[in-house]
Amino acid sequence: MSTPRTGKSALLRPPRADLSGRDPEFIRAMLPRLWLVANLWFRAEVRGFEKVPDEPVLFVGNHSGGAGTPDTFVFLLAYNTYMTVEGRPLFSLGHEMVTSLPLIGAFARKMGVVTADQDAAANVFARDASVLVYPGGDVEALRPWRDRHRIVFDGRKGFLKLAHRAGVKIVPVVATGGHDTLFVLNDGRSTARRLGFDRLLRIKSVPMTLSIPWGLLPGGLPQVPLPSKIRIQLLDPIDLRDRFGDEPDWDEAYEFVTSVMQSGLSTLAAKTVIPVLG
Amino acid sequence: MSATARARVHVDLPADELRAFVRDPHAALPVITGFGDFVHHRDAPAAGRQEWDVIYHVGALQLGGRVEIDTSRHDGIDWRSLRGTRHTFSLTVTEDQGQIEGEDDGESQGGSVLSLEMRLSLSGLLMARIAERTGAGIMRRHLEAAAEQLRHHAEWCR
Repeated sequence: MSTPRTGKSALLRPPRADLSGRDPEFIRAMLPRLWLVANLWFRAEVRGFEKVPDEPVLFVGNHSGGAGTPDTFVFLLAYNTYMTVEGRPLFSLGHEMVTSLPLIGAFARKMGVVTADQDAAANVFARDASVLVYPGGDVEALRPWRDRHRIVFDGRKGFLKLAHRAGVKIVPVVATGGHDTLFVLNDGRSTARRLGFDRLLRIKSVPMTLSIPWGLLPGGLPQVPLPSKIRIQLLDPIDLRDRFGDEPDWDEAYEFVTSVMQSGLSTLAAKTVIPVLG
Repeated sequence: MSATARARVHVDLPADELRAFVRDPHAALPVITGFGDFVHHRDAPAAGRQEWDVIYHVGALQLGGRVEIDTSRHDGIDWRSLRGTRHTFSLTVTEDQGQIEGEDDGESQGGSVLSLEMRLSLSGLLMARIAERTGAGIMRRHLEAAAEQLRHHAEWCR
């Protein structure tokens, strides 16, 4: 998952950002089994949907769990359960690596994941729907385990401009536990640059990871997640136009949103008694 | 035996301004709601000291008790427990001399550093040691949350 892209990878041929790929009947059929997984495996807690205004919004989350991103699917489950499958649709902007994968890519697209693209996001808002983005993308999803309670957006501000241009509020979503489903041992950004993964695959981080069934592996493949407890908290909406005006200082807006989310994430993390167990 | 947890965070605010904020328990303590609940009991007879009832939301339990807060230090506050869970706490503000690693490559950023430290003492031997080690992790996450809440409030909400 990632922020709307500005470039293209040299090797991937991701599916077009086609909004018609979302399948409400498929989502409805998936909800019970996803609910079981979320409750029994992850003991998931999702709080704060009462804060979401009845209008299209941009959900902005912190990304965790490597290529597995279990908290994303818990959030999609929660949204479609609480906000209804028939109601305002939610589309999640995803990294082309995810939407390109066989099986997983098809599943993700039916759940409402589309290849990250500025035009795709604008089309979603034009359809009175909401968007979920993870500005930190793969850099945050593969941040070191020691930084699991840090917001790592890597300076990306595209999501701010997207929300401001579309005139929608940002609803921050912070989550813990997703990064306990595997162990990321180091920061892999310099490795990705040296190997040229950024240019070839738009992968900006290749750390060493420890996961099931791969064991010790450079980079991240979808893993069997450890049964960590996942907590997700929605925070109060942020109206960029109201707070920063028609011509925001993007650096200031970025600092504010990440400050709100860091405070919220640290507060949520304080509920953890023992990592993984919850 | 005792366990100690620490957290610190860079704050984009001159140290003097931040000190003025955090040295006032009535201003700073209501901000750290994720850390616990704080109720002013009375001003103690000694100058610069106040008694507060604190309740920490730690795991499945609520810990805490009555503490005496010393606000006489120029760079922060301390407290010690008078009853309940035996612990000490300190909150200190210093100039940022680039001591926070991982932020701005450790170079001086200006602003200040907010440091929190809590020491917990339990009675017993092996079980107390296990409880303290578990508690230290929980305490550290609570201190990090408190530090981030204070930082965010100081930078954006005053």
